[in-house]
Amino acid sequence: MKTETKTDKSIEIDREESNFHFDVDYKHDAGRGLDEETIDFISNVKKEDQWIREFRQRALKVFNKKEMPTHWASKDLNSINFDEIRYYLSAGEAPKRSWEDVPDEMKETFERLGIPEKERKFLAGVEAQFDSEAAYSNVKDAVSEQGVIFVNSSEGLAEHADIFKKWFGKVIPTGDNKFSALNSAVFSGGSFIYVPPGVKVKHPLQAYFRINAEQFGQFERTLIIVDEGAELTYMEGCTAPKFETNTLHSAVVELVAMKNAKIQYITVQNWSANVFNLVTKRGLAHEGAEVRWIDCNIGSRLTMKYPGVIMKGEGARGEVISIALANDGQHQDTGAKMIHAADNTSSNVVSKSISVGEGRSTYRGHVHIPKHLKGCKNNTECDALLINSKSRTDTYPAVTVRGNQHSTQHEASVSQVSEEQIFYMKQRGLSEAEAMSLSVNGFVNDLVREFPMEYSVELKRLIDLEMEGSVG
Amino acid sequence: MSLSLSDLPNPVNEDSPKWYIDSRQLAWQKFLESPWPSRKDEDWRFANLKKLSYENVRDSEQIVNFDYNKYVSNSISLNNGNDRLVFNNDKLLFQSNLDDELLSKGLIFKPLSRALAEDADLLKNYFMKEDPKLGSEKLFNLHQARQREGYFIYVPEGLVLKSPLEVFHWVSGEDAVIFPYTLIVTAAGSSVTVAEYLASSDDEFGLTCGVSDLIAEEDSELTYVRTQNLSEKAHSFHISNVSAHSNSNIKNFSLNLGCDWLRQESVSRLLGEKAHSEMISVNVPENNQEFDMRTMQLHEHANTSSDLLYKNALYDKSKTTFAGMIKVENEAHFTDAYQTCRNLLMSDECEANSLPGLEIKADQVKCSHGSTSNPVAEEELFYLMSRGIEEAVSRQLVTFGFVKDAVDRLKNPQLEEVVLGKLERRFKKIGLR
Amino acid sequence: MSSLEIVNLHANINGTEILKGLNLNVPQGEVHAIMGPNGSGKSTLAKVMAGHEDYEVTGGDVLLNGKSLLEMEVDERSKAGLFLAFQYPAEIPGVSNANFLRAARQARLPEGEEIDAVAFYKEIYDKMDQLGMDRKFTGRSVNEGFSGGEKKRNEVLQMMMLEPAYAVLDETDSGLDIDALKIVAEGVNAMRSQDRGFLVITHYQRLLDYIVPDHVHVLNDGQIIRSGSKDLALELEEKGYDWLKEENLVKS
Repeated sequence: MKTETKTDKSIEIDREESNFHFDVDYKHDAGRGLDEETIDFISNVKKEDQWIREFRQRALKVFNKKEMPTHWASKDLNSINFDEIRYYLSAGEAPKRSWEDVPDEMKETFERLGIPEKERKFLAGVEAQFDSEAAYSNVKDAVSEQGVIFVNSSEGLAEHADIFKKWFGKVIPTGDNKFSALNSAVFSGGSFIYVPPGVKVKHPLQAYFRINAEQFGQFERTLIIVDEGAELTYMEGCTAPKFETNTLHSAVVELVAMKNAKIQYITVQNWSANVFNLVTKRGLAHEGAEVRWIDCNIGSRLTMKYPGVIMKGEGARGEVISIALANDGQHQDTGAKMIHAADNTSSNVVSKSISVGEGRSTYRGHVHIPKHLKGCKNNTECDALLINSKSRTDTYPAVTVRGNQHSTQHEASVSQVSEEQIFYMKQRGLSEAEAMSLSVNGFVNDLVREFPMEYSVELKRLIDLEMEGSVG
Repeated sequence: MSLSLSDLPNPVNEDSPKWYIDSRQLAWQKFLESPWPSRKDEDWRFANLKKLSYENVRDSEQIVNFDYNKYVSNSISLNNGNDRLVFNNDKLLFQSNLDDELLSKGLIFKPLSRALAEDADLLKNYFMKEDPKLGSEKLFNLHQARQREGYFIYVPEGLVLKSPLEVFHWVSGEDAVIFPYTLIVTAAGSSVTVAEYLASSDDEFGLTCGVSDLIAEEDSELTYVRTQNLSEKAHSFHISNVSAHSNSNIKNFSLNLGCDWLRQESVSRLLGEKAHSEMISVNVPENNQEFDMRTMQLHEHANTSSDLLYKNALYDKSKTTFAGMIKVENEAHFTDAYQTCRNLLMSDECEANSLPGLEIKADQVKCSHGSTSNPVAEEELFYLMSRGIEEAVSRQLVTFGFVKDAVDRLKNPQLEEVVLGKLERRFKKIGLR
Repeated sequence: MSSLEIVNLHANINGTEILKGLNLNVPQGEVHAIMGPNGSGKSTLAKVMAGHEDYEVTGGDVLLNGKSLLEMEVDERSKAGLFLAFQYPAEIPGVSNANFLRAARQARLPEGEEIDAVAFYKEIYDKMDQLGMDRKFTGRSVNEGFSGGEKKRNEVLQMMMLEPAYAVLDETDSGLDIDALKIVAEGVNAMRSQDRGFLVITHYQRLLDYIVPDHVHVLNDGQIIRSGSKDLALELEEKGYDWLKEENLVKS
């Protein structure tokens, strides 16, 4: 549309819901800046073994050595001041199994975000992280009786070292990129999940990541292992209050799907506009296994996230379904990475982005089918919707195919809501904004259906709120 | 990455204007100061940088016994008395006499060295105005500094040339280097078709480093067909820059058959209302050939359109990289831009890389890209075979059809025949697989 | 009492005058037909009434219940009670018919009031049955991949759901076979009532066999050149538009 208005006002209203914070008396505070001592501090608080201390220190060296990837990524990365960030903040208590035991400010935080209610309604287990550590972590008896382990990463390290150590850092090596190295050095919180062979967890497990403190960095580390023939759906939600200063969120998520296992990993993030969200996510799919990433990115100043699947076993499948909405001052730089490493593996990527006002969305894709394989397939579709005349979108896919027994297809398009559509809906009595919202929801509708019902309603609401004031 | 050439030679024509001599010196300075492409350059992703090593190349000399009849007459070209220029190792061998009537109307079709002496002022208005946009500043500067020959075509206002003009560039001798320059300008309301054939007269290693500037002014039409059939040891580097002004129509077609390694960078700038650019390329590499092709459709004005179709049929251990970018600038509303790259995978060891990109900064645009990599479709093979055609023949039929579809876009039966003739010869050499 | 009055309406598209002083009064409870040859301004009239931005109104007024529509936004006109059944309804990918209609109904409720979903679905299903529409249509995207007839039925369904004070039917018969035409006409006839007016725009008399008008007007070159009873349509069918054009020429 030709008309331009500022979208800020409506967004303020939207974010009010998660835009609050408490002054918490943190027992453990690693202070500002990052060096060997910061890491010792974290390891000491967590009473860690020598091997993990060494792992962290090595990672710090890798982080310091690696340059910012600004030769291809946004120069805005240079605005992160690593010396100003606080790398570890916690109340120093183990996560509670009951909401009643959770300290008041934290309990109120999660109640306002509706977490306990959702848990009662449809979740098999919940972990709620407040800054660096989980405040609450519980899994329903029926699920734990099946042998499912759902704890935070520290507990996973301490209590389940044999499984943890075997896969930790194997899907995403420390040196994968600068931010995976940073996470490897200072990680805290996140989930460790193990699902035993044949167990199909009926209801989703959920983690909720809340940033409360200012100038803080959240570095959760999630490792999920789903054993042979087992199935799991995991969901994560993320929010933070709005500050004048920058907040950093830099997670590493590793998924391992053993033979014929299925993992579905669903993310709905609604970060405030001061968050740098730089996340590395990758799954390893063994023979006949399936890894699906279903991702919705709303908010943040800069998100860089390219969920990947390494299809290591014959017949493995990988999928990335993603929705991104970039509003004024936001850059959603998202995509997918599909590495085919066995015969008859198939991958599918569907990405839809919406750029509003002066927002910018970027798709980066990487599909790799090496030599001497047969029967690999990739299908990639990315569609971008531009709402205003200053909205921007970019697409940078890279597809490598070796040999003649494979088939790949990549399609991308850019479009806008037509004036004819808007006129039609206005004739039926909808305001221009309502008509625009409906059209935008229609654009992402087929992907929204991939989210569980409770989330798709939330998603539609978020999109409506983001669209308010984008036309006028 | 290295180059054995170390000092700057004088221009062919000692009487060249001062601006020209200065521009060469400046370019040489820039060449020496600028870095070679590196792994970190996004514009060189997937490129085999090890190939850029030229320890023994030398400025080529004309091969005295170049047999004009043997090479030129036997090459597949229009062969019906079209006006032509023939170069060997950047030296003019033959020039047809232009029709007096065309000359009197102001048509220019002459070697660069002569144009520098006779049409320097006009030439200067259009000469190498475009900076490289796809990562090859270093090689571009090398070209400009060491450029010796090339040609200048100026089609004056309102003149419509019915018959295509032809240019032959031959490369002869081991380690020969040529730097051919092409400048074609169609003034308002004019029209021209130019066919340029680049080929080796032997199977030695040689390096070609060329630049083509194609400029269509208001309401004009320009079709540029470039076929490359260098030796399979040769390296070729080529930049083409299209500037399409309002209501103009430019077609930039390339066929690549030869070379051990080539890099082709093609940019189309859409500069005025209703400007239209078509970029078409057909590539049939075999053995260990590596073709690295980068394109940009740059929409700088509202109501412009562009269409790109690249088709690659890959045999043996050959490798192609297609990196295409559609850029729509802030004010370029109502842009229509399409980009398609199709790879037909003919062997178990070939490698196709596709990087189809979009950068859109304006709304009310229609842009899309598609890229596919597939073997010959089973159902097509089956259909042909069910009519009694042997499998290998069926496969080649389908492959020929695949590339022909792009050649058809030339919409010029004479030129299509030339290009298809070269392709037929190519497929004959490849044989039934 | 509601009323629809078009007063000396002038409108341009791209600087070309299409409506040249059109006057028309449709009292409540009546069905008026507008007939005219191609290019006479029929569809322009419909678009101008609905407020399409391609058209510029250069003079005159359109009054609904005495209030000018011309200053209102497109959606405000709709909520004020004007419904346009489009000749070429737009396709809206990904937006289901049900969601679309819910949103349109919701837009008519006072703030804070929510639609009763159960009652809504019951109502939409009843009306779809009446129109012979498959219930699966509620889940399909608005008009996307619909045949010509399906699109027109969908327009009538929307009219039935939105219950306007005045409905303008723009060439609703085009693209319909006789069976579909009957069903659509039945839908319209069921909507006829003491407190609703219709303006039926059509090129052919055929539609008026099924939707019988109270008055017929002939539009030519942007003006109403003749008004009469429903018999005027039959006369036109027999003699063709040229008959009136010539007569009009003689008069002026």
